[in-house]
Formats: sequence, C-alpha cells, structure tokens
Amino acid sequence: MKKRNLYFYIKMLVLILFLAGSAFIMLFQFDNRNLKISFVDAEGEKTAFGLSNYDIAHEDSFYFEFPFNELDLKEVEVYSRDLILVKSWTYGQFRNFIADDENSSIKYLDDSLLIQSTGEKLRIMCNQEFAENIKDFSESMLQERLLLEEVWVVILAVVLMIGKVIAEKKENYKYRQGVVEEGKRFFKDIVNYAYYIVYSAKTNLKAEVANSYLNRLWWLLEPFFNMLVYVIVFGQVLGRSIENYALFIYSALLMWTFFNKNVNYSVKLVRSNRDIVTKVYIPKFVILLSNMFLNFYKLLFSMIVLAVMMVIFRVHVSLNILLFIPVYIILILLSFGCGMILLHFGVFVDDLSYAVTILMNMVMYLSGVFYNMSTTLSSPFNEIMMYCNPVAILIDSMRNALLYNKITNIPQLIIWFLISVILCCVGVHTVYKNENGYVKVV
Amino acid sequence: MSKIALDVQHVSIDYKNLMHMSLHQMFLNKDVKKADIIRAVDDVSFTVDKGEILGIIGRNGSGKSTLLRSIAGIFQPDEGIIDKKGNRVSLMAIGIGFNPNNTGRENIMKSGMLLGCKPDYIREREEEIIEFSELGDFIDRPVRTYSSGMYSKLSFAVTAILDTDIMLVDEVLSVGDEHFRKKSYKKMTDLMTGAQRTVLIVSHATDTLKQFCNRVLWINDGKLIQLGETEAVLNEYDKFMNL
Repeated sequence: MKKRNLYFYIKMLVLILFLAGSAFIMLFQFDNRNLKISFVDAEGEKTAFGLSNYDIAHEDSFYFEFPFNELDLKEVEVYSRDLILVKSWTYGQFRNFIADDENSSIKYLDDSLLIQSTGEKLRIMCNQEFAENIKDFSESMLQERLLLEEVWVVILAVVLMIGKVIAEKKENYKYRQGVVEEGKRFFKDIVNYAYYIVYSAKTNLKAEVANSYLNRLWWLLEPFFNMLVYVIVFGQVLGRSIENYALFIYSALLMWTFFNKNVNYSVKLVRSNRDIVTKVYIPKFVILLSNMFLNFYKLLFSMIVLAVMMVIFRVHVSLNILLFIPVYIILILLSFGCGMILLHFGVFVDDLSYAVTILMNMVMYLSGVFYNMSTTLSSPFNEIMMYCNPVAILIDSMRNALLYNKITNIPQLIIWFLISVILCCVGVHTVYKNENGYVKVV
Repeated sequence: MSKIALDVQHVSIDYKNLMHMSLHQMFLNKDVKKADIIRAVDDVSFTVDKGEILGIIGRNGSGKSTLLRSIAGIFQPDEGIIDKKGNRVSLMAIGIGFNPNNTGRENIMKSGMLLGCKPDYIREREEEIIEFSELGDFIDRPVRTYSSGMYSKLSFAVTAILDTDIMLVDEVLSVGDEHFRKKSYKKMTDLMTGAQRTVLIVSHATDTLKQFCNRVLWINDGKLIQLGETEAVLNEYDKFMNL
C-alpha cells in the first residue's frame, strides 16, 4: 500500500475544485451580454453602436444610423465588453443581413461595400437573420466561459505548484532544492553557459550552410516556396476574401516553423546529443536554448523578406505593429516550456517523436496558418480554437497587428503568457529533478 | 602534509531497469516493472589526497565507470555524498561535442567549453593544442575532412591540454600512429605524474596501474573489496581472477 503524502491530498483537492469550478462556469446562467457592433470602413475607421441585452432579446429588427451619408464598409465586428471579439463578418457576409431600403444604394467595390444614402444621414436596416444571429451571440457567452475556465486553470495550476513546493520541502527527497535555489541555479547556469549557447548556435549554423551551394539563401527559400505552394493551392478557395494573401500565409508560416522545429527537436534532444550528455554534465536546457537561438536567427533572416514584402504590398503600418513583439515573446516562452516538458518524456518514451510529429501536423491545420480562423471555421469550433489553441491565438494576433493594423485577442494573450510561464517553470523543475536519470537511460 | 582532494562517502548508485518504453507499453503498462532496480555502486567510501594517483580495478560491469561518471558530475549518486572540495573535475573523454562540419578550431572551442573551461582560457591554450595535435593547416578545415588518425589526435589534444584539477581516466588513451602514440603516452604520463594533479584511473591492465598508481581500489559487483597499496591489492585481485 502506497503511503499517501500531502501532495496527494492537494492533488485531489485541486481535481475536485477543477471539476466543481468547470461545472459552475459551464452551467451558470449568466445574464445575456451587451454587445457592441463596430463598422470598419476601408480606412480602418470604426463606428460603434452599443446594443443592450434587453433590446437584443426583444427586438427583431435593428437599424444603425450614421452621422454621415456614405460608408465604405469593409468589415463588421461584434464585441462583448469592449475586449472580446465575438464575431467578425467580412463585407460580403454582412451584405446578406442588410434589408432593402429605398433610401440607400449598395454597391460592391474591389474589396469593400459602398453604401450611400440619398438623405443626410445613412441608415442601415438589418433583417431578421441578423437579429437572430445577434440574439445567439448575446445568449451564448461561450467566449466568457472559456476565458473564465482558463483563468480558473491558471489559478489551480499555481495552487498545485505551491502545493508541490511545500510537499517537496516536507518530504525527505533526494532532490531537495527550494524554489529560490532552483531559480538561482537556473540563472547561474544561463550566465555560465551563455557564451556556449551563442557559440554553439553560431557554429551549428555555419556547419549547416558550410557545404551547400546556396547557403544562407535556403533559409529564405524554404518558407518562401512553402508559401508559394499554399498560395497556389489554397489561394483560390480560401484566399479570395483575404487581403494580401501571400503575406498572410508567409508571416504565419514563419511563426509556425519556429514553433514546430523547436518542439520536434526537443523530443529527440537527449538522444541526439547522447555523446555530450553521457560524457559531461551540461544543463539540458542549454542545448534546447542553443537550438532555439539557431532557429530564431533563421527566423530573423526570413523576417527581412517579410519586411520587403510588406513594403512591396504597401501594407499600412502604425504603432499597433508593436504588438508583434510581445506575441513573439509569448511564442518563445511557449516553445521553451513545451520543449522542456517534451524533452523529459522524450527520454523515457521511445516513440514519442512519431506521436508529436502527427500531433504537430494536426495543430498546424487547426491553427489557421493559411486561413482566417474566425471567419472560415464555423461557430463554436472557431471560438474554441481561438481560446484553447495558443498557436492559433498567437498567429491571429500577430497577423492582425502586422498586416491589418488591429490589436486583437488581448485577454487570451495575457492568459497564455501566464500559462507559458507556468509551463516553463514546470519544465525546468522537471528536467532539473530528473536529469540524473537521463544518462542511465539513453 | 597531504590535503584531501576528493571525498567519497557511502555512495550508492542505482540503475532502474526497463526505463525505456514505447507509448504502446505505457498505455498497456502491465508488463512494465518499475521497481526493477539494479544497484551498480553499493556503499563505497574512500578519499583521495591531492597529487595522488588512484587506480580502480574490477571486472566488467562491476560499476567502475558508473562511479567515475558520478564523480565527474554527470549524474548525482542516489545515496551518499561526493565532495570535490571545490576542484574542477572532468572525465577524460575524447571528441565531446564535435561537429564534423565545423573546423578544428571551432571544435576546440566548443569541446573546451563543454569541459567547463572559460572561453578566454581556451583561447590562451589554443595554439598549444594545435601544435600538439600536429594538424598544421588542417585546423581551419572542417573536421569531416580529417583522417581518423587526425581526428583522434585533435580530440586527444583538446582533453590533454585543457586539463583539470582532478582527472578521471577511463582506460589510458593511446591514439594515432606510432609516433603520436608514444607522444600521447608521454603526455599522459606527464599529466598524471605532475605533482599537483589528482588522478583516478580505471583500467583492466594491471601493468598500467602498477606503473602509475599510489593506491588501488578494487570493486566487485558495486562493493568495495579492498583499498590499499598497489602491489598488495593487485596480487589479491590476480588471485581472485584466476580462481
């Protein structure tokens, strides 16, 4: 009979709390939400209208009155609580919701919808279908529930970590490092091995291109031709409604490649470096960081092409583009965290790398690398993906900031930042604790 | 007065068997016995004085290399304490972290850093390493273009020149052609007999041990059998092996 320790009880408590909290979040009858309908014109100017939940529940037709008489409509967005994007319709999709009105004329332009009014003010009448859609959005609260659930998971993960720390302190473990010492050790290792990380990445890069004819150019050609294939294959089907489809794919591919390469490498890391690992002591994350550094360098190289393409396609740029930096920071943290955890299991489970390759393939298709998640997939699948698939969130935010001048998904980004940090802590701890065993296994 | 350089107290090291598994085994894990533990080193204690050369002898699979690796810090012992008294320890292994597509010079740097040396120190000794390895112009060509002799010369030079306070030698290395073998053997001898160097040698060759060691440690099945003067222990060992 196994002796049950303190940590076991904490785990049980957390499990019960998780189930209870999830049930509560899923079943609780929230009030219907208020919505904000935001009309975006070709210049990116927004005109917003608030709708209260009472109106939404009781009216069955809506009209929106603008202070001007001509609207170059590009997109319509539905927000809840100003932050949560519930739905966005392209002008083509929104056209179906506009009821006929003799006072206004509607014309399709190249990539927008021109609505003009004969009177002084423009009034857009919306039909019953629109009202039904809005009603559904107001009632569902799916996004809020998912968000709450994620917050709940983060809180419980922190509780679990604290429990683990306390339990390890009390128990007579061989591994008796506290959080503070482990943190110190981590930073000391990073400082000690910083030069090695950079030097090894640099020489590995050099080795990669040493005897190839086109050398560094390969780093550009690989994502570029991938992009070309996607543009040719999916361009006709998925790309018609998307502005700058080539850029749309290229920017996402860069991000995806970085994540994918890191994750796939980390599973096999200890095995492929066995001649180092079995002969000297080296903190395992040093090897992972070195590889990430290598991939990051390649990424920066490909970014030059991205910048050039942005100039060629005349992408309108504003300060919103800076969101791109925190998004990449989260991506790096996430790859490191996932990498550390997979590194650990990759040592003990022989065929994990096959499973991970398949999984990553699936994640790629579910991350909207070559389509727009929220407009292409049907609800509620797209909403679940936009809240639970970190890569999809990151790609979407990055693309919106970079190409369309929009800041989106802020609540999810904050949550996934926290989750990534937790993953990093758990990963570093697990590897430190178990790395003794790695040498004996490989 | 002798100073203790390495203090090994009641060290035990376990190997868990069957740690490898596939996903299939993991999900249907009825056959996986996790408790299958093999004790490779069992309660071994000894101290090594500064400047001493200690030989370790024992049959194959008796835990010699495991003990050495554990002293090198590659993994921590499961029980007991290894106190290195602040000395830098490295396992004498050749070609650590060599990448065949990098030049010899780059590999010296990488390998040296993995051995725990500071970049500046490696740059200082770099010329010495290149000279010792007799590679000449080849040092700036990729290692994959080297002959196997050149490769082992370089890797030996790196480990031999970038020495550490406590040297752990798993079988005395001799590499290259006749000329270089003599040279490397002499270098090893110089390294080991240098006054301030503490050395632990694992070997099956009793001759080598007789030549170098002050004391010899005999391990059998992970247990310490005898620790004492070279002659005495080796005689006992020979008797035991000839039974």
